[in-house]
Amino acid sequence: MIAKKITERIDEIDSFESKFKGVVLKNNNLIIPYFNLGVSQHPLNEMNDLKYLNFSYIVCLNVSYLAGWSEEERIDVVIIDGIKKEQVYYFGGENLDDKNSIFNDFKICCKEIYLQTLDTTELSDKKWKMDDEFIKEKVSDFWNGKFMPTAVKELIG
Amino acid sequence: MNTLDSFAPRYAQIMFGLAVGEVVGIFSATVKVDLMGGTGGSKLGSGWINYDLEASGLSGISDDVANFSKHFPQGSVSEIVANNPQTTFLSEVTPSLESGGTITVRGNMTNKYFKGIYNGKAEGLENYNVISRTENVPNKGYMKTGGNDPVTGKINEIILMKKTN
Repeated sequence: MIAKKITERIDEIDSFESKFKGVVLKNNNLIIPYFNLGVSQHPLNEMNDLKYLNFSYIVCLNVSYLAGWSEEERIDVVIIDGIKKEQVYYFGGENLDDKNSIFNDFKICCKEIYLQTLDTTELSDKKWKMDDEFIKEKVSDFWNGKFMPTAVKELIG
Repeated sequence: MNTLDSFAPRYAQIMFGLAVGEVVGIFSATVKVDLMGGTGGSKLGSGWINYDLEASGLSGISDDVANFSKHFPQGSVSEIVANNPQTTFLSEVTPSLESGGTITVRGNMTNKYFKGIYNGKAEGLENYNVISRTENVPNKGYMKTGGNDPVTGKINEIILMKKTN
């Protein structure tokens, strides 16, 4: 797959069983690195059943509202309390940095949002396994930001 | 074997613990389906049938949701629960659900299939009235696909009732 910015049908992305790590919130931009993001009825997979991306980013620009779910207190903790628009995006999954972190699930309002694929992104019918030998090293590089496109890096530079 | 033939012995087994063939008047019994209930049997307790690709055992039916009506004749199901559905299903189960029957769907807003129903955008919703929508219901130890990882995050619930024909 080629590195691509996909702005269409963000609501058709499923992060319920995905994993994320190294979330960055800077310059009012939120970057979530994702492993196993699911897509269906989406430009990358028009079928009904989910297919999974090994590596990708969700990029949110000019975030005006951000809340994170506290697993311990079972409440949404508001992090940016600006304009809450009608269109709310939900992203979450398993936070590999801290499973009990308040950043477990995100509720986001922003000016622009897109899915960023990478040159190393592949799509699979089944979920990817992080500890599979053939992908292990790439996973580690991905979490370390090695594949992050320059345009994304600049947003948080 | 027609649909009714395959239906009757299975429910006699599930509802009354009868051997296949010992079917007597089971159609008056309430049929409750734990849709996409994961591996094995239903975790919802006795009287629930787990319908999942990975279901097994006496109270499990292993099949795709697209084939739901092959296992459950028209209007034969009174209640369906779907916790964190992993595909679209409303259109597939509607013929089998009796008029006034309910579907309870629980899930996380990061689950696109749940979100579609909760936000009123899913295909097939026109056949239902929304009875309730509840945010942040208790997490009763729900598990993700595969049955090893617990579901985390806020869980919402919506209860739908099938419109009378």
